[in-house]
Amino acid sequence: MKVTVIGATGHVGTYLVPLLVEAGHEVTAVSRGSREPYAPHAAWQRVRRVSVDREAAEGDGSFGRTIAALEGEAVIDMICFTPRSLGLLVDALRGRVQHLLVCGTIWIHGPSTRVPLREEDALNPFGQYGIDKLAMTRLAEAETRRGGLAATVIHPGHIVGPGWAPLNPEGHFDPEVFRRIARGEEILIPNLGMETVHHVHAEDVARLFVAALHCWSAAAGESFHAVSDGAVTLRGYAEAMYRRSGRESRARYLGWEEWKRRHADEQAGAAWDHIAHSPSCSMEKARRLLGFSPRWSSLDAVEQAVGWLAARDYRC
Amino acid sequence: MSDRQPAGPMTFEEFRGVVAHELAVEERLVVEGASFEDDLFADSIRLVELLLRLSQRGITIPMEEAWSVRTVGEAYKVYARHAGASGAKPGASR
Repeated sequence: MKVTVIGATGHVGTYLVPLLVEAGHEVTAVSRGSREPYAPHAAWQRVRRVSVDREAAEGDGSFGRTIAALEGEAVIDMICFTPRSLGLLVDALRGRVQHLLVCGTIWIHGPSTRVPLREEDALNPFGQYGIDKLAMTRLAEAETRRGGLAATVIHPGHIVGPGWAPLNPEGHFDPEVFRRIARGEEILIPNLGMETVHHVHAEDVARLFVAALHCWSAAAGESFHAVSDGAVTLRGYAEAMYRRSGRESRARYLGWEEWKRRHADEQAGAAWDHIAHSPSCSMEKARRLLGFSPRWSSLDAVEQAVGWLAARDYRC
Repeated sequence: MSDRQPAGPMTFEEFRGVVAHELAVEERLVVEGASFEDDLFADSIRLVELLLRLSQRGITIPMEEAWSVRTVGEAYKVYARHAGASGAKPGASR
């Protein structure tokens, strides 16, 4: 099958494009510039590379036409962030593409209510990112339901892999936290550390996209979580990372206001966003409909990413 | 209010009635200059749902124009242009 991947050299695309090539698909990789994927792979030599600046192309109305002209039978869009972008793409691809697969986010749920969250559970997003991704999901579902373009939305958790800093046990992205853990130094966890985060290895997200592509009839009009088999509490996450570093835990717990006072605005904003959501999502639907199970646990995925960080002295 | 497709282009009065119903807001708030986001509190989720429900009623607002629309009056103008009711003016009633 001819498959067009938009945002092909990003975190997930780095794994997705080689998987598609190895599965025998003819892949066109669309990216903004000539950036290389996070990890090299021989499969990229068998991929058609196309450079498109989406923002500019959407601005002059040419983006959808450009993607349609690539003649993919399926299109995987990793970098669609607004219902407008999705709507424009759907209008351009309707009747020309068999399957559109789009990257969403588990942030569509808003704060967790029951855990683990199923795809159909509470959808009360806050923040523009989650709200727009849920609007995109609604659009994709409705488009499929009315017999237009068959669309599937994959909702990843915190995507982890070698090449970028993973979400850390303090709830933000400063890699210095992992250096402190490796040295057996103190880190500061907000509240009692009982809020949750839910990672997923980028390779598992890519595998789920491929599974959905290969199960068109089960995936069309559906959305699926893409997370590891289990979320971790910040406390459990911190203790495990100390243990894996051969250190005793020196995690210290601070009430939110005190924790916030001791951190930069950027870190506090990220941490608040994560603990306010406290995601813990189920993979049962992907297992049932697509026969998919994630291979990486949260901690194994993080450990691989931290190994990459450590080799670079914790600098991204 | 029924989900039947309108027999002809709607007047602005009819259009605002449909918008008020679909957004579950008081019709008096749905005036020409009302902003979907600021005055009618419609985030992107509600706007998508509004577009889909309008579409089910045969009221088409093309996607390429929908996301540049800010007010009820602008939405009606787009609708009217595509429904062939370019003579209809916001504020006009049957």
